[in-house]
Amino acid sequence: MKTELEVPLSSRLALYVAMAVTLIYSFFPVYWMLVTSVRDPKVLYNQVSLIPGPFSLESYETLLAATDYPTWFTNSVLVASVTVVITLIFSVLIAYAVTRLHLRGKTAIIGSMLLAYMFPPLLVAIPLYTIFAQIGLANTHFALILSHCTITLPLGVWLLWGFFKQLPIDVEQAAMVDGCSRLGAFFRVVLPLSLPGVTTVAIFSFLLSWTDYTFALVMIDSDDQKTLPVGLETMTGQYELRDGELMAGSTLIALPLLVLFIFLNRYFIHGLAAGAVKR
Amino acid sequence: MAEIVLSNVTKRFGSTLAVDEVSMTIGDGEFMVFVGPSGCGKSTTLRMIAGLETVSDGQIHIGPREVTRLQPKERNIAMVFQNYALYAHKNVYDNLGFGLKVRGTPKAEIEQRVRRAADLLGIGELLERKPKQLSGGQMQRVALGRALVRDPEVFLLDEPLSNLDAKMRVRMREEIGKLHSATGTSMIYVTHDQIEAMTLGDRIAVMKDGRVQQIGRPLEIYDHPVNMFVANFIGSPEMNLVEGHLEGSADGLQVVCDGFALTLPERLLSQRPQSDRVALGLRPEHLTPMNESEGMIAATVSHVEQMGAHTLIFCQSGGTALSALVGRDDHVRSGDRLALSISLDQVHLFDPLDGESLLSASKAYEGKHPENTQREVTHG
Repeated sequence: MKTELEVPLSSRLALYVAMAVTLIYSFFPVYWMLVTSVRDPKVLYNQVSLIPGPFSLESYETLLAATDYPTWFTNSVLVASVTVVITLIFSVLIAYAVTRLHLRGKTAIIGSMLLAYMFPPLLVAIPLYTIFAQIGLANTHFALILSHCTITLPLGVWLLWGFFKQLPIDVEQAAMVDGCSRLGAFFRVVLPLSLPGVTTVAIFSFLLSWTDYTFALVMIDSDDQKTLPVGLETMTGQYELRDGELMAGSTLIALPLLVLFIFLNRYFIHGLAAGAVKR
Repeated sequence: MAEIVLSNVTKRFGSTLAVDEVSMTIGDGEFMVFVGPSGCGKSTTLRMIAGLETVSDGQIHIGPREVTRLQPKERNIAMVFQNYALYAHKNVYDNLGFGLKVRGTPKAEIEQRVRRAADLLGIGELLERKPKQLSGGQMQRVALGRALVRDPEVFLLDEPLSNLDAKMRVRMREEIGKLHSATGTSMIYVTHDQIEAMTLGDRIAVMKDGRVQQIGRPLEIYDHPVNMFVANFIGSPEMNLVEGHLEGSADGLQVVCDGFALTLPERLLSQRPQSDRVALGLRPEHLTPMNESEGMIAATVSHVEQMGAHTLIFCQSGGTALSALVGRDDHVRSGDRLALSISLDQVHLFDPLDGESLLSASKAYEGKHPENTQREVTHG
């Protein structure tokens, strides 16, 4: 079946121009970050140019030698990974239950998931911090992980709900007739078929947790508990304006995400598209 | 192989009664077809047998075991779904072997049974392919193979051919028939297509509004429908149902319709209708064009459909519209006058108030063949 519309040349040209402008707008900061991070710090402020060079890894060396970057990196990995695991476990179970079980107020449950996004993170972070402080969780990674889950879990449930809705229930029932329990059918059939959706949720959760600044700023006080975005922020006060090191740090923050995208790109795109289509 | 017994099986969805006290026995090795329009409860009944729907009331036995409350996996059944329900992430081999693997069958035996089923269905060369690489017909074969490989006590098939094109449907229908002959396993087949029901079933259960209207061998149901619904649903083109009233005459009873009258021997009737009004049922294929002097029903042709081997003639007799299926006729035209004749033993008569057949043949037949034909008592 033909799924593409025929578009006149003028419209196509306009489309390409719009795409090019959007790409430049989106990728220029990334390009500037990369270029600045590998530029010799001695010429950083007197040779401002769009063209890369002169090349130097000095900013990276200074960053790693003069800051707690390895600690912040480890903290970020820990917080983001545990956030992903918690998000996946709960969002898969909640989304499946909401999709397949006869529950009253299903739509309200799903609708309420989006409420979390109606408030700015700071508005959620401050009361959360008060609660965590009262139960002795202040300044812990666990508090940060839980606060990240307030953002990642609703997103996960929302995306997976869209995904599970599309899976024909007959497939699960075929597995049950074939000899699986309901749980068996879920693990052997539903979950493998949902891999694109699960991957999408994992990537988004990792991304949200890895790049979070607001929650980390409110929840974490001590230097040894800080994650990368908050840790890098301390450099500006400590070493005055150190753009080279900041950009090198930012590049290192973005690198794991880039690797994640490259390896899981196929699942990710499929997951997003599948979740968006209503059948 | 096993006998399946349904005893007063009922299903309610909230206040909606989907299946209403269905009782029947499906013999060991029998091919039973549930047929009826959408929403008649046929698929729900099948799904209750499979254990995919809970039973509100009643009991289900498969062989000597009562399975009413058992999980699907405990019933030793296999099911083919309307949309095939193949596991998209597994190749054909793994789809076929999944049920055996889940039940802990040794690898060598899985291999042997999968190959045997694949050979039987002609999908041996597709074993490495993923479902999305298969055509509709191939997917249906895989779905059948997945059921076949398990060697279950009962096969349940829920409208398995409805997603196929007309040609493939005929081919697969034949294959399912052969498969049943080859395995000898009890099969329950759900369809809304009366031709599938007639061609495949050892017996047919015609359903409407959650109730079984009639159970019997295909030709018994065709020849002796117990009510207007069955008469109209079974048979293609559908039966002419003509309003009329009964009048006594010297030769018997006369059914007077708008445009013609038929005289029936009184012995044909098992009972009198509740009023004098009746519905006369004439199958199009039983109406024969005759010379105007010999025919019983004088009519004017209003429309002609050439169907190749047959010609379907739509005509008007007074205020009554009739259709007649005759042998190929290149000469009949709109506006032609003709006379139609019918053998009196092919006439059906119903009480229009409750839809029940008034003919003693249907009643007598039912009484003589209780093992073949069952009839639900319509609740008043």
